[in-house]
Amino acid sequence: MSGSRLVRYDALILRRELRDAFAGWSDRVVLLLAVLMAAGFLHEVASGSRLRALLIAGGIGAALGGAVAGTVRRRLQGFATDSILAVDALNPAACRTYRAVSHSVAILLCFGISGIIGLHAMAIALAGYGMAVLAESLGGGVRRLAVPRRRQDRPAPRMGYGAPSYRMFWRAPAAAIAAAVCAWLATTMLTRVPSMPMVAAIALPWLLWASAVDTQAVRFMAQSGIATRQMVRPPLGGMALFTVPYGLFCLVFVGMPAVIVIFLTFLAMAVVLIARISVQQFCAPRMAQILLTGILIAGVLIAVSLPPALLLYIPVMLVLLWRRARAVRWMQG
Amino acid sequence: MNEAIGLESLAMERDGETVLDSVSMTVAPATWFGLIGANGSGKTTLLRGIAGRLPIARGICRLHGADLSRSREERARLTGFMPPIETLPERLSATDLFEILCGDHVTASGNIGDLAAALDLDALRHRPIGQCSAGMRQRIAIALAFAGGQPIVVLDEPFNWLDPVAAYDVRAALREKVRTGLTLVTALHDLTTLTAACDAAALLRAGRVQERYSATDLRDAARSPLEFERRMIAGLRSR
Repeated sequence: MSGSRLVRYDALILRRELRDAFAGWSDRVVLLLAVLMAAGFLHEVASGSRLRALLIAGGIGAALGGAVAGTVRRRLQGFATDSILAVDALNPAACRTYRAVSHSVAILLCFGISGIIGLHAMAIALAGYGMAVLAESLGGGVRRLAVPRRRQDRPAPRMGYGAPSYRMFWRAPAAAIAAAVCAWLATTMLTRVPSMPMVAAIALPWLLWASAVDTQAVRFMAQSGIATRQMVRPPLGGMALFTVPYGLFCLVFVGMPAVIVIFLTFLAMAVVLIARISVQQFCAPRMAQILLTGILIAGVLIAVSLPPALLLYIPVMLVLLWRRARAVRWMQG
Repeated sequence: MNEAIGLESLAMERDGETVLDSVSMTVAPATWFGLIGANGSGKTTLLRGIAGRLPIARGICRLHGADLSRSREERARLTGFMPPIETLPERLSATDLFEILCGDHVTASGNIGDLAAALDLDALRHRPIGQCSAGMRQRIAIALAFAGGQPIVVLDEPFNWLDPVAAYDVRAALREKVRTGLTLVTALHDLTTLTAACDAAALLRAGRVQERYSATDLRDAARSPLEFERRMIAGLRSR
C-alpha cells in the first residue's frame, strides 16, 4: 500500500506533465513524427555493422540505467526529507516497490528502443542497463564513504548549499582508481568481443557518472559569480583520475589504439560536461535538459553524416554556450 | 511522564557538520511550542529531526513516551509535516495530494477541520499548484501538515507569505486545534505570535538551547513586548 503511494504520486505527475506537454493534436503528431524519425535513424545507424549495433544498444541501456538509478535514488532522498510521503520513503519495502516499478518501466522502454535495432541488441541493452545501475549503486556507496567529515574547528566551505555533493566525490582518487582497475579487469576478461568499442563502452558508464553535476549547485555558483572553468574543474579532475590509470592499463595490456579510444571518449564526455554546465547556468532545469538533448542529437547526426564538421561544430557550440552563460552569471534572481 | 515530545541531549548533523548539540526540552501534550532563533540556529533541522525527515546523530527523541531516536519512519508516521512550498509538485492540485496522502480527500478534509476556512482552502483545492502564488502554496502546505491527522504537527515558519488577515485567522484556528488536543511545534520569527499564542518556547543559538520560556514568561512578554524583544536581541548578540 505505502509503496504504491510513491508510485501513484510520480505516475500522476508524469501523466499531467505529458498531458500538458502534448495537449493539442499538432503536438502529438509532431511527437509521433519525431519518434518515427528517431527510430528510423537509429535503425539506419545500427544496421551498418553488428558491432556498432551492439555498442549503440549497450550505450542506450547504460545511459538509461544510469539515469533511472540516479533519479530513483535522488527521488527517494527527496521524498524522505521534504515530502508528505516520508513514511513511505523511509520504509524499505515501499522503497523496493518504488525501485522495482521504476526499473521495470525503464527496462520495457529500453527493450522498446533496442528492439528497433534487433532482438540480439535487447540482451546487450539489458546488460548495459544492469551495469549502469550497479555502477550507480556502487557509486552511491562509495560516495557515502567518501564524504569528508569536517572538523568542528574548521570553517564551513564557502560554496553554498549543494556544494558538498558537487565536490565531495572528486576528492576520492582511490574510488576512481579502483573503478579504473575494475574497468581494466572487465576489458581483459571480455576478449572474445573486439576490444576497441568495448574499451569505450566500459569507460563510458563511469565517465557518464563522473561528469554528472547538480543543477542547483551550478545555478548557485553562477549566482555567486563563479566562472564556468572553475565549475568544470572538479568533475573534469574526477574523470581524469579514472581515465589516466585506465589508459595506462590499456597501453600496457591492449595497445595504443585503446588509449586513443579512451582519450576520445574522455574528450567527448568533457565536451558534454562543459556544454551541460554552461546550459544549466542560463536555462531552467527542464529547459536545460531539452536544449542539451538537442545539442547532443545534432552532434551525433554530424558525427555520423560528416565527422570532420565536428571540428567546427564543437568549438562554435561551446563558445556560444559559454558566452550565454557568462552574460547571465551575475543577473540570475 | 506527561509529555508529547521529549528530547534529551539531542545532536544532529548535516553533511558531517554538527548543527544541533545537547538539545534537551519537553513539549507537553496539547500545547503550542515556539522555536525562535537567528537564521541558521538549527530550528528547521530540529523540526525535521522530530518529524523523521532527518536522522538523529546522538541523544534521545521520545514521541508520546516512546523512544524513536533510531526510527525515522515512526517519527514521520506520528508527526504532521509542512513540506517546503518549493517542493510541491506544480502539476498537481491540493485535492490530488490529499487523495494520495489519505486515499480520499474527504478524510483529509475531516482532519484539517476548521483550519480549512482560515486557509480559504475551498478556493485552492482544484487549482494546479503551479498556478498558485507563494501565499496560496503556503496555505496548501499548512493544510497538508494536518491532512494526515497526526497528533503532533511541526510547522516551519507557517506565517511566511500569508497576508495579515490570513495570518490572524490561521493563528486562531491553530490555537483552537491545540485546545482540542493537538501538540504543535512551530519555528517562528514573529514575536507577536510567540507571546500571544504559544504556551512555551525555546530560543536556539548556534545549535543549542540558549533560553527557555514558560507560559508565564510569555504572558509577561505579551504585556511588554518591546522590553521582551530588547532582552531577546541582547541575549542573541551577547555571545
